[in-house]
Amino acid sequence: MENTLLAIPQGIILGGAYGAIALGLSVIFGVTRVINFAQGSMLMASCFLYYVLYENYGIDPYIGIIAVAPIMFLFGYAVQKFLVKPLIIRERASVIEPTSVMMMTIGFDFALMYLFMMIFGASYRTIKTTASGIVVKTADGMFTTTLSRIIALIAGLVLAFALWFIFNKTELGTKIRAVAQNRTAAGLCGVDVFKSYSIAFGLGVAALAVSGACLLQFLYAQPNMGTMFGVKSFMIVVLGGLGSIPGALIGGVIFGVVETVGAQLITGTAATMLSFVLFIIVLVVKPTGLFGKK
Amino acid sequence: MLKVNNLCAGYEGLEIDHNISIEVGEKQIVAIVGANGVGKSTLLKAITGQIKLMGGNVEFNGEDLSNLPSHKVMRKGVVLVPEGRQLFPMLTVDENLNVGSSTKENRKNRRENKEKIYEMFPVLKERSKQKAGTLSGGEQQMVATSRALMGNPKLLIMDEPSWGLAPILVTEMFEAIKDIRDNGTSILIVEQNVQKTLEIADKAYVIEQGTVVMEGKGSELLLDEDLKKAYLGM
Repeated sequence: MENTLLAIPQGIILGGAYGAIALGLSVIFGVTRVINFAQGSMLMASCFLYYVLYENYGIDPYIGIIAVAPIMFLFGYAVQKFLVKPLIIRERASVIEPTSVMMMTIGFDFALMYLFMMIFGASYRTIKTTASGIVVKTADGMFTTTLSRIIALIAGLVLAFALWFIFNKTELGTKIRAVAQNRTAAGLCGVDVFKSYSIAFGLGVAALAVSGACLLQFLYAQPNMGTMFGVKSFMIVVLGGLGSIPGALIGGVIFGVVETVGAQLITGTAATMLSFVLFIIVLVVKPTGLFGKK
Repeated sequence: MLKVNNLCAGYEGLEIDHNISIEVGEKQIVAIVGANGVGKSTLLKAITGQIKLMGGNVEFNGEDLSNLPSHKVMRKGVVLVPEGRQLFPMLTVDENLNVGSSTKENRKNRRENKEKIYEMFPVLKERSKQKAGTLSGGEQQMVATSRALMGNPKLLIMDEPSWGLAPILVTEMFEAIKDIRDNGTSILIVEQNVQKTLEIADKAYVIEQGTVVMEGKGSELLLDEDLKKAYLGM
């Protein structure tokens, strides 16, 4: 029983990290209506960038964000501009999700994964940083975790707030929300719709890069790592409501808690299965997700 | 200032407008009237870069606007109030006006423009923090018109501004349109309320099956027997 209770904070911490990864997906979908299935590999790519910075120059991933987040922003911006945009124009889909874009992102995901496999091989790479070595425990010593995991949770909250602030309190954000609500009308107001798409895509991928820095502190970098995170973040976003920023975070926490508590009560495999079942139930019963608008 | 020459336009290989030529001069209200589905909105979409031209060209103050994307047409000073308002429903009235004036140039006199608009439509000031989607039809039309005015249009294009409005509001809308013209903005208006439109129009074109079949002064067309029969039920 005690173990089960202790699994809850573990789950929340893990869920915060999940939620942070899902944020990027949610932002991109909310604006462009594109489900970026390359999300997982983009996370993996940013983890490898941090890894390289750490191994070659001894730069801690937290510091590395300064370089990697802008690089990933430009990467996302370019993917939207040169790969997604032509497909949207070709399909002339006004606000509906163009299917060819979805398929393209799946292909892109694999291309990126095998590119990194080619360069780095399939081995698991971990780094030992200061934050991952610091153990945090409660006064009675019952609950222990590492500082890096707590930072990951805080980073998820900060990231969600930052994105919320950009979208709701800045001129750029107002324009991007206008594009998300009615892209034809936004164009008629003088807003460059595709530039807004590129910025949203860039922001989503940059958010991913911030999560990557936190993850690498206690996980590994490996070319396949994106697959599981990609699928999970997709499910989290559906759970929380596609396009909803708080939904992504809360969806992540629910997911994390189900996984860790489930692993205590039943087995790890059953818990993972349970989380997928939860996803299917939400999709069937409340397709807009817990916080999604119609 | 606006010259549309032999414009052809349509959708997916289906041409709807054939060789349409119209002209709008400085400080003019120019009307395009015609029944439902004759290609009036298609013409406006082609002018404002929402669909590609299949032929002809669009000139504005000597510049070629043909096939520019919407946001570039808007930045040249040709601003559309689209059919059905097309507001940003989840943004507040104030945010809608901000998006309408979000280009670098238009941001400069955003505050003055808002003051002018709140003078013209005082109710919008009260509603400024409310989501646009929660407003009544009449208020939404005011927001749509105001959002376009925030973009400092040289030419304001209005697609069915009286759509869905109560009769008293229709009269007010037409008064507002005259005021806008008197303040120096040219207007190109597409309307199904033929009577009221022709009353205020300096010039009007009648479109049938994608071609211009008649043109003249608004007041003259109002006296035309065929037109009376076809559109005014007299």
